[in-house]
Amino acid sequence: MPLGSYALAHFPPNVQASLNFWYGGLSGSDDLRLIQRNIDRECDRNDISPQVWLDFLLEVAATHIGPDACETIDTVLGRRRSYFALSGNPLAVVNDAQRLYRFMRLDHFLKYMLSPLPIPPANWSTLANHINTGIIAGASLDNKHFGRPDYPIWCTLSDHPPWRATADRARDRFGLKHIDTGHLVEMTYPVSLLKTKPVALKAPTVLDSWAGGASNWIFAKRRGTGGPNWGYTVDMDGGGRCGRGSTEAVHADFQIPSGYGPQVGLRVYGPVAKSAPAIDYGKLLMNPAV
Amino acid sequence: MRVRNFEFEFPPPNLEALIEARLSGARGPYVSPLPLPAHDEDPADIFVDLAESDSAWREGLRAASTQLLSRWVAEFQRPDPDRVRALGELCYLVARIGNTNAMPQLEMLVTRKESTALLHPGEDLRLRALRALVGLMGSGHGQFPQYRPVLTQSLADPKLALTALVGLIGVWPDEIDTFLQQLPGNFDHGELLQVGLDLVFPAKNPLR
Repeated sequence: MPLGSYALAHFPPNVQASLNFWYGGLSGSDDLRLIQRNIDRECDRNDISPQVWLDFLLEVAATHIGPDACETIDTVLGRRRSYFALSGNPLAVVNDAQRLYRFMRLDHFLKYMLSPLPIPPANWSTLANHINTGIIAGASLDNKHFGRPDYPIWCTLSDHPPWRATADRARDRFGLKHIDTGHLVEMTYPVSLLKTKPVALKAPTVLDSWAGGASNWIFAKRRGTGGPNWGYTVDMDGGGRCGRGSTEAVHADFQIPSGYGPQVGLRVYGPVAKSAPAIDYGKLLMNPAV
Repeated sequence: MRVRNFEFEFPPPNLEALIEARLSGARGPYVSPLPLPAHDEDPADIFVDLAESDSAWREGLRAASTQLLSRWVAEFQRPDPDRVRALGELCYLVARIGNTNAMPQLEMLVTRKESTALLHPGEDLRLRALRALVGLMGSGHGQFPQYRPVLTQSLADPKLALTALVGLIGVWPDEIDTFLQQLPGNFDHGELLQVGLDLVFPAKNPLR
């Protein structure tokens, strides 16, 4: 459902006009048109809290003066990050023993999960080796904070080995296009760990995809009606047109309780050898799999 | 030079302003030479990548980040959350690019009372500055005896003790027993002490 039709059903004419103006600002290039499509698909589905989505669109309409539609998104989200973050509806219950997987840069893992270790300029292979040989293991994460407050943690159910053949392949599979160098850490944890706070697994929404900035991130909203459902990553392999990647969902940050750290598995891949493949957003938009 | 599928020329002359704008989350012409931050990316990451890819960028970033850190430390009067966040990111950046010239400013941050402002759960600005300072102590050939007082003082604080201990043992390995005796009661350094020494002082780890 195009945003225009959604707005017609939910907002007065002046808000419709403002939203149309904002939406039109997302038509200047193929990467922006992907954002347009994601907005239209969000309107089709039941993945997002209806009230939060309506409130977001109202604030966009009241804020946007042009010309940068992405800047308006960032401004609106920045004002009430706690309210707009993780606005997806909870997903159907997943078995407690089911393992989730999350990938992050090794240097971010040191920065956020291994504090108070010093931050060195180099020697990352040593850290990778300490993790892969078990000197640093899940037990080191007891009482550590997992994720950042007010930002979604992206995770997948996929444990399909081919996606992990190399760090480059894993990076591409999960659409981490900004990672050119360094190692990747895979954290794996059971769904039951989320229940210690508790936090829910939620459907990924366009608002989650914009949490780190509306531009420069590949997100393809699931098509069709229904929901809430898992989303999928954009696999950057495929000669620019990309492809459908692995399942993905989001959840909130939480503190790993004392004694629960050993439930977290760690493995380091890499270092990444090449830059991420170039993306042809025009071809991506034409790809029926995405 | 190509980084993240962007073409970069030589570092621009206004590199200090560029770092300041990026770390402060600014938009517009100042940051236009850089790709927009991506999901799960921190503001300093692009500079780390550029420094690792090109020596001209590395040297330029070292000089500019020293100037910026000096200015921000001098201006740091009250714990404004946005400035605290940007300062924490700048501490991370100077450590990652091996900028030993920034160590005096990092030491000042460790001892400032305003630096107890929280960066994220479990880490305040003081700890971030100390992590950067100790991370840099393994760089080059310096012994950095001037930082022994701040490290010794930090040993008494449970939140800072492990980081300080890595620096002290790394530089003065013969005095390991003395340093261990100065730790707070019930302090357990666990496996992280060995890992920290391996990371920063790989050739000098007396625990090996």
